[in-house]
Amino acid sequence: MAVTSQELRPGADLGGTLTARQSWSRLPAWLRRVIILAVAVAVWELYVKAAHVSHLVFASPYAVARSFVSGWLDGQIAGATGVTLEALAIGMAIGIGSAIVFTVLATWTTVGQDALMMFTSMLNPLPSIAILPLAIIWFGLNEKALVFVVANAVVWPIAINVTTGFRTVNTTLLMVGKNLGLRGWRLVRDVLLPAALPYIISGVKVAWAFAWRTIIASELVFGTAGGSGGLGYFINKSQYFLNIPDVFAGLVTIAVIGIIVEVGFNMLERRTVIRWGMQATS
Amino acid sequence: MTIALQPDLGYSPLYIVEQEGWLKKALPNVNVKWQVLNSGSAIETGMITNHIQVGAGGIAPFLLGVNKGVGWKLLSSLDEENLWLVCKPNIKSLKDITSTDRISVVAPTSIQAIDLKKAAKTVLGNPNALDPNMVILSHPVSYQAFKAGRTTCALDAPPFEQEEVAAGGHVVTSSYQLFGTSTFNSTFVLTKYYQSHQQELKILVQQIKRAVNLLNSDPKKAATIIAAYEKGKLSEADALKDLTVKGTHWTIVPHGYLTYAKFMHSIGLISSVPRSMSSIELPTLKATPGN
Repeated sequence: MAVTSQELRPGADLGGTLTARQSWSRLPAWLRRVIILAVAVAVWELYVKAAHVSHLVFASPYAVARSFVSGWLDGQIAGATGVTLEALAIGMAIGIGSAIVFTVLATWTTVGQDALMMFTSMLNPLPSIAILPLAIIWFGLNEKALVFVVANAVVWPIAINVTTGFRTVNTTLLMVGKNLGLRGWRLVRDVLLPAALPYIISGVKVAWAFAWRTIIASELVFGTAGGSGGLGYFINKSQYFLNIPDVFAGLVTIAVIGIIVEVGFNMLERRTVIRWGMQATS
Repeated sequence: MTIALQPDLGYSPLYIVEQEGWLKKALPNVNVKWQVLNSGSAIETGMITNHIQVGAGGIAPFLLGVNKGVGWKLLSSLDEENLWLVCKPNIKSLKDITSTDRISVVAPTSIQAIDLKKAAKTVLGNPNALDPNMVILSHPVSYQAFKAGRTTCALDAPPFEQEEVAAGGHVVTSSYQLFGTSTFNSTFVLTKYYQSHQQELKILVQQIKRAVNLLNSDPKKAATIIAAYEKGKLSEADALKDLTVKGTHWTIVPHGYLTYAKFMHSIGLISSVPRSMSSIELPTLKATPGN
């Protein structure tokens, strides 16, 4: 007997009676999430009201929403977000570019492969934020240090994923390419890169997650200049000035951007590798 | 009772009280814990959440806390220090600062940050004119960055500012020039804690006063105690030099609070100026009210 998709839904009641669990699972996914969010916010508001926590320790959802809106309207959060995203974009671009160069070199030569293996195993486990003090010494107290730390956070996970992608390319595909006379860069561009696409996308996804955490952490430690600091600095400064709702508003902004990018990646995957039936299994 | 202070010789009266065990002798039944924290902001958070009962810190964060409703008041002052804005020789005035120059201060709400805003207002007409140049660095890091040429100016405290001058900097302006002689560090407690521990806090202030008197009457002996407190990180001779720097005065009387408050109010950092000193001081300062 074929199992219908209805029965495979999470929380589906296979007994067939109409229970609360079943009616919950029949709601559309977005509605279920909105309800959970609404309940969480209500509990939060109730906790703040009932526990009489100091407004200097914990902010109510209402105060956070007000800070969030006013922060975006007066350009403070928008400006900080812009600064963060700019450093992030430059750092990621440099990181991805270098990762591609490294992997292509590693595919061509054994020395390159050995070198890449050694550097990734040495530097990938190192949290990139740990090299911030060095970056400041090398590049000074400016955005360059942040860009460097982000690039370092990005380059190794991408390099690992792309090399794995290249190595697991179907041998038949590779042979066909070689038989057609493809060599060097053309072999990489026409056979290896498209075949490794699922690994590349998941590498960029992992890299984004590392980069995003790294840039916020770096900005918390070293806020660039006061007038043009990013989101991490915004949070730090708000804490100094005891504007706790602003601290929360900064955190909400970080979470929202994280969600938006995650959704973007999922859409990209659905339109490419999933649609073409080649999703990476790792 | 947890007393929190910062690693800076400006807190010397508290170092002496701790090192000499005076409080332990005067209050044998109270479990007194001394905690050194690297940031005034951490002390503030500790006090709000009641992990720290007696805090010590600068004038500006204290006033900001008063304004935000932390509910603390001054227990005593500790000292007055002249804070220098030290710049590279090519910066004759703040007008010479360009967008690539960096000026380090210890925290966005520190007395140094307020001094910089006052200087910016006086010289450039806009208190926020130097905000894009401001970087946040702890005193030792700030000194190293200045020496290495990573920053153009540094606004720290003794003895770092003297070291910065020795490293080729020159004094462009100072906190005394901007605000007059004023308190650097003070101790403060939450009013509700004071109400239930008046006797203990009175004794603490007596011990602080004793340390302040020692610093003034016998700096040599004070330097010996500080050197012992620092456990070899600071020699007696260096301690003596740092404790007797020109412009540094040891006193429990707060000075300059209302002047700073008026300026902070005028640039929108606090929403109101305290009505009077008595509204931000505890009765421990009744005999010697500040300004």
